[in-house]
Amino acid sequence: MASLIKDERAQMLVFFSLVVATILAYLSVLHAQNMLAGIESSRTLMVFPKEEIRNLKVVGEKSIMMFIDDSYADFMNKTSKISEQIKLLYARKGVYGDVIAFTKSERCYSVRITYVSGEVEYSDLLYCCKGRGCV
Amino acid sequence: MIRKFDNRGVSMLLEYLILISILSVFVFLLSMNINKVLEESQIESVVENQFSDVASEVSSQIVDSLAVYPRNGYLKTKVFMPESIGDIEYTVGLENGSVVITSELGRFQKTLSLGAAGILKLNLSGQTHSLAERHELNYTKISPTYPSAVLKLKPAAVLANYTTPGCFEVDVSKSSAMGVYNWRVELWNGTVITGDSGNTVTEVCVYWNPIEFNNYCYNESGGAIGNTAWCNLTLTVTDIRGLNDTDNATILISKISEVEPGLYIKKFVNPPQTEPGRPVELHIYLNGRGFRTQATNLSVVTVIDTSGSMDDETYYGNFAGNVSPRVWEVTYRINSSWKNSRILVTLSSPDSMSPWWDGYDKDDAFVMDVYQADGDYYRVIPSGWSNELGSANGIYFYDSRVTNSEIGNWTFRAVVAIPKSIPLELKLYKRVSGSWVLQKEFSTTYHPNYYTQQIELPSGYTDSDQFEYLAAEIYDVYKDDFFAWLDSDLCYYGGEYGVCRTGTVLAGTHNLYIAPRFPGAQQFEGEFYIQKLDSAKIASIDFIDETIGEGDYVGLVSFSTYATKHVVNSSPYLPHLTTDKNNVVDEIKDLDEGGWTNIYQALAYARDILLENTTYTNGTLPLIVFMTDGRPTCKYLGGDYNSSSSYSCSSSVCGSNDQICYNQIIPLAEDVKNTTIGGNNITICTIGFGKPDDYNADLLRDMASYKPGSSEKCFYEAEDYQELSDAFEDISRIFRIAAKNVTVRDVIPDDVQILGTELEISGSANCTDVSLSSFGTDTMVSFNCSEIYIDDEIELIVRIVANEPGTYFLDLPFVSNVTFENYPFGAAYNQTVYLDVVNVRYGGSERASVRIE
Repeated sequence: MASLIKDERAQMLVFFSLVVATILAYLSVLHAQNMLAGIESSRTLMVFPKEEIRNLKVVGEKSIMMFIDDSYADFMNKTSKISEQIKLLYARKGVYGDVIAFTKSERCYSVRITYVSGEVEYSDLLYCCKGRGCV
Repeated sequence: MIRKFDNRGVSMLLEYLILISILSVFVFLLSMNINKVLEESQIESVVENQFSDVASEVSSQIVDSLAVYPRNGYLKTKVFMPESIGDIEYTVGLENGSVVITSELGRFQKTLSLGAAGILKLNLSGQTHSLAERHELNYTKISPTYPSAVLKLKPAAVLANYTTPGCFEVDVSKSSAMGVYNWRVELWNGTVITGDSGNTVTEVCVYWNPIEFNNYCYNESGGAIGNTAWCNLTLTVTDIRGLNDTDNATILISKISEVEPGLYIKKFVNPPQTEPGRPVELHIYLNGRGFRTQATNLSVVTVIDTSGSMDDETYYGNFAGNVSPRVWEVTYRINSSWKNSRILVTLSSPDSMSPWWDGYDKDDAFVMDVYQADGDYYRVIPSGWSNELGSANGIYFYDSRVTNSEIGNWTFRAVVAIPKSIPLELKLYKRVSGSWVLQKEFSTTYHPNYYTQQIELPSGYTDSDQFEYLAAEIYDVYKDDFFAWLDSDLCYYGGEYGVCRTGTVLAGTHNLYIAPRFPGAQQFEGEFYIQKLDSAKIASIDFIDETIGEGDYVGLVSFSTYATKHVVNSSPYLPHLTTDKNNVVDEIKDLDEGGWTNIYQALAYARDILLENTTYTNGTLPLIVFMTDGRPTCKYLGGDYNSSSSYSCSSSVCGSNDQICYNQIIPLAEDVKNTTIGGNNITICTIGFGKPDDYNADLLRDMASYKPGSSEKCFYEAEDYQELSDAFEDISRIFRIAAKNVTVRDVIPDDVQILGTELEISGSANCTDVSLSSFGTDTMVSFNCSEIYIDDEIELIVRIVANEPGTYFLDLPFVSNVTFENYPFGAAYNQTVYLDVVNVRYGGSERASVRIE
C-alpha cells in the first residue's frame, strides 16, 4: 500500500482519460455535423422528368392536331403509328410513354397521355378541338 | 506512543481518493449534461436542416407537378425521405398551403409555405409518416367541363297510323362532354336507345297505338288522347368520368294531318359548367313543327308551256378562272451571215392534235411573238390562210430582208391552245439561191396550261336521260384570248370561237376545257346554258317530288298551240289525276317543244282536271301551278274550248299588249279561283319564265291567287333555271308555313363577354342577320324571320365567356322571348314565348388537388 501512495501513474491515467473523452466528444459533434448536408431535394431535382412529359404533351396537343382534317381512318392510322414510335423511344430510356388518340370527330379528338417511370406516374386525358385548343 | 504530526492533512492515499471522488462527482455531473451538449443540440441542428430538406423536396415535387400539370388526369411521384432524422420519426403533411413536418412527439416542427401556387391553384391535403413503406405525392385534376345533353327531334311532329309508322330522327349531336360520351334515350314507353359520341343520330319509327299513348303520353289540351299524342323522350349523356346530364324533348305523334303548325323553341347553354376564361355557347333553337297548314291533301295540276320558245337557251351555271399560258421561249442569235437575207421562221407540231382540233383549222391553235434584235416586235396570228403553214400544223414568220440593225439575238415566244401535251418544232430558214435552207431547228414537248370545269346534268329528269343540248359561252371580252372545248369538241358555234352547243347530250358530268391562246391571256368567265324546256322539266319534277306526298293528287297539262291533258291514271274515273307521282314525272320527261302559246285552253284544262271527279278530290286543297315563258298568242274564238277550231293563233292575234287575250283569260282565271272543291277554293300560282319582256307579267299576276294568309300574289318571275327552281320550291312551301314574323330576343348580362354570334338556318326560313344592341348595361341579341316553314331549323349561337368564377344567368325575364304569328297568322294570332332561364356556371372550386400519402 505504501508503494501505491507514492505512485502517480493513476493521475496520468485520469488525465489521459479526460483527453480521450474530450476527443470523443469532439468527434461525435463532427459526426453530427456531417449529417447536416441535405440530399433529398437535390434528388428530386434530378429525377423529375419534366421535359419527357412536356414532350408528350406537345405531341398530344399540337402534333396530332395536324391530322385533324384527315379522314377518320387516316387519323387513327397516323396517330397509332406515332403512339408506337413514342413507346419505342421511351422504352429505350427505361420508361413507358404513350400518346394515343382514341376518338375523332370533324374538328375534335380525345387523346390520352401516359408516362410511367420508377418515380413518376403521369396520366392525362385531353379533349382537343381545332381552333379551340385542348381541355 | 507519540504521534508525529506533519503538514499533510490527509495521507496521500486519502488525498488521492478524495480528489478522485471529487473529480468523479464532477465528471458525473458533467456527464449529466454531456448528452445535451453533444447530442441534443446537434440533433436540433440536424432536424432543422433535414426537415427543411424534406420539405424542400416535397415543395419541389409540387412545383414540378405544376410545370407539367395534367388538365384532366393525375401525376403520382415518389417522395424519398429518411426513416428518422436524428433518431426521430416524423410526419409530413400538406395543409394551409404549406408543407408541414412534425416530429413524433411534436417537439420539432418545420413549415414551408408553397406560396401562391399552393393557395391559388391547389387543394393540399394528406399526411405520411416517415416509417411508411413508401411516400407518394398524388396530383389530380378533373376538368370542370361537364357533359351537356341536348336532344333534338327531326321532325318534331310525325304522322302515324296503325299500318304506317311515323319516323323521326333522334339527334343528340349537339350534346357535348369532356371527351367521348355515351348517351341513352328513354322513350315514353320505357324503350331505351343507346349510343356513343361517334353515333349521334338514330331513327325511331312509331305506329299509332292509342293504348300506349294513353298510358305514357299526354294530350296538350288535356283529357284522353284523341288523334294526337305528345310523348316525352329523355336523353342522358354520361362522360367517361361518370358525370352526366339530361335533357327532354316532346314528339308530337298524330294520325291526322289537321294539326296546327307551330314553333318548337329550345334554349340551352353548352357546356353548362366550365372553368373561367373558357368560352361557352348559348343556343336558341327554333323548329317549325307540324304537317301542313291547310286541308288533308293536295290536288295539284302542273301546267307547263311547251311552245316553240321553250327551245331557247336558259342560264344553267357559270364558270370563271385564271390560267396563265405555257410559253415556249427560244432565243437565237442572227449573225451577220443573215444580213440582207430573207428569213423564214416556222412554228409547227407533227402531232395530229386529235381529237381537240378535229374538223377545224389546226393552224389556229398556234400563236408566236417574234422579238427582233432591233427591238421590233411582231405577233404571228393565223387568220384565214395568212401566216399558216399549208404542209403542217403550224404558222410562220417571214422577213424579206435582215437589216444590219436586226443582227443580234432574236426571241421567239410560242403558245399553242390545246388541252394536251404535243411536240413542237421551231425552224429558221434562210433563202439561198432561190431555195429555203434550214439553218437552225429547235424542238420541245409542249405541256400546255389549261383549265377544266365540270358541269353536271342531273339524271332522272328527261326522256332516256337525254338533254336537248348543253351550251357554253365565254364572255365576249375574253373570247379572243381563249379556246374552249366542251368534252372534246371545240367550241365553235355560229361562226364564233368560244361558243359551243352540243346536240342531244346525256345526263352526267361534262367537262369544259379552256386553253389560253396568247402569251398574255389570263382571266376568263362565261356561262352554261340548257334548253328552257329541260330546265322546266327539272324544276317541275323537283316540285312534284318535294310537294306531293302520300294521298296527294297530281296531274299535268302541257300547252303550246293547243293544250293537252295528260293521262296519268289507268282508272277511267280519274284519268288525269293520280296519287302516283311517277306517272306524271314520266309524262313530263316526254314533253317536246313547238307551237304558239294557248294560255286560255291550258287554264281551262287545268280546272277541268281538278273537277274531273270530285268524289276523289273532295276535301283536298286544289292548286294549279301555271308556268309559261311567253305572251299569249292564241285567241279564244268562242264555242267549245276543247276544239282546236275554237282558237286562232298568231303573234298579233292578242292585240296590243295582249289585251284581247287578257280580257278572255282573266275572267276565266277568276272563275277558276272562285271554284271550290269540298269547300276549298282553287289556288292558282303562276310563273313567268325568261326575260321580263318574254311574258306578260301583268296577265300572270292577275291570274294568280293570293298566297294563303298573305296579301302577296302567288306569282313568280324566273329569269333562269335556278330562279325557276326557286319559284317552284317556294310554291311547294306556301302551305307549309309554321310561323310568321318571328322575332327572337335575348339579353346577355354585362359581366359576360360576347365573342361572336352565328345564325344557322336549315330549310327555307327567311331571317335577318343577328343584331347586337345595348339594353341598359346589358347586350340584347336579336333577329327576325319573316317566315319559318315546317321542318325548318333555325339556331342562334352566341359565344360568350366569363373570366370570374360564378353563376351567370343568361336571361332577362319577360325580355328574353320569342314573338311570332301563330297559325292561321295575322295580328290576332300573335304569341309570345318566354325563353327558358338558363345559366352557365364558371367554377372556381375545381382546383387541382395534391395529396401526400
